[in-house]
Amino acid sequence: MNDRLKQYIDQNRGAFDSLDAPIGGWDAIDKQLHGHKHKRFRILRYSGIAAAAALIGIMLYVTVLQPQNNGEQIAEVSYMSEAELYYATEVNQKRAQVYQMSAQYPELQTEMDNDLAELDTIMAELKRDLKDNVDNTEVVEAMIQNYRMKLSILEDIMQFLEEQQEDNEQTHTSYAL
Amino acid sequence: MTQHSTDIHKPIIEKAAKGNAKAQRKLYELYARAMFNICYRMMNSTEDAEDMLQEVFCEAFRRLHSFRFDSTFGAWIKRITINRCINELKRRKLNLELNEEITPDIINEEQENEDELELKVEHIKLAMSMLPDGYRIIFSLYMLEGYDHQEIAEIMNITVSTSKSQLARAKRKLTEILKASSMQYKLN
Repeated sequence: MNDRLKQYIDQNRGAFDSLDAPIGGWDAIDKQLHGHKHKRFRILRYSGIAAAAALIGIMLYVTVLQPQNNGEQIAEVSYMSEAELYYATEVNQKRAQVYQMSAQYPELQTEMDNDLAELDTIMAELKRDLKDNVDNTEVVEAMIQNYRMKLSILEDIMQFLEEQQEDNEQTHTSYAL
Repeated sequence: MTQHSTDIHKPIIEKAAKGNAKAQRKLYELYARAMFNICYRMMNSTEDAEDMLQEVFCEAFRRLHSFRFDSTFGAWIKRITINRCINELKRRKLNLELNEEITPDIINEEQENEDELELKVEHIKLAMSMLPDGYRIIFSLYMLEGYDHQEIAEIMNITVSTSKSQLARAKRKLTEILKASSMQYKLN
């Protein structure tokens, strides 16, 4: 049977799919399928930040009440410069690694940046205290703790991302015969 | 032993089935346009088509672990798309107008009418959007999605005869719309 309409449609089939898929279509699907994983990590991360802020806050409070010897202060500042170099390098390296691993989680990257920025604010206060010679031992301890908290947070994120990667790579496929 | 289809995207599909978001995104990018256009033809609305597209892909990725490569992924997700759209239209209790059959004489008459028409893609698409839902769906399934009457009967839960007759009606209606449009263009 000569179906001219069918022939025409068959010959021009591609032109009938002229609409583009909606912008942001994948984001909505991704959120629906994977949104809970981001939420799980958010809880992990907030507990880390809260612990860091609380610890450093307590140490700051304690340092105000303690007097210190001038000779010890100079030694502490020198020690801190070396430690700062070491920790700053570690943090930067791990941060770069996390960025690479979290390419498909841009929201996670933004939140990580915000949380590390909070610790940077605390660090700025500690540096002011160090400069003002406010009980250097405790201030230096708090600064080191600040760096360690950043590293801990970054390592937690990396562990989370590695676990996600492992989950995705596990083999469960079976074929029907 | 079942013959497995060789899907060129098999590695991506296997990763997506395990929940790999990157692989799922890749599949979405490969098939979203085609599925969106099917959704639009079924739902006759861009907004509804967007909603259905999201539901289709979410369902597909949730069920992907059960995909056995018995067909291509494209054929598999197309079937999910069509089933979803039809279920949604039924849920809205839209009249799909699938009733009595018509005679072979009327089918022949339609063929004659078609021969007079100048065919253009945009005109046909516009005319399809003006068809009643039931006609548009059957017309789309047969003429564009490539299903035969046996498959359409299974999808729509109708008989093969009803599928044939409804397609004939849909084509006749479409031809009338095209003719009326053509006349309008000539007068203008």
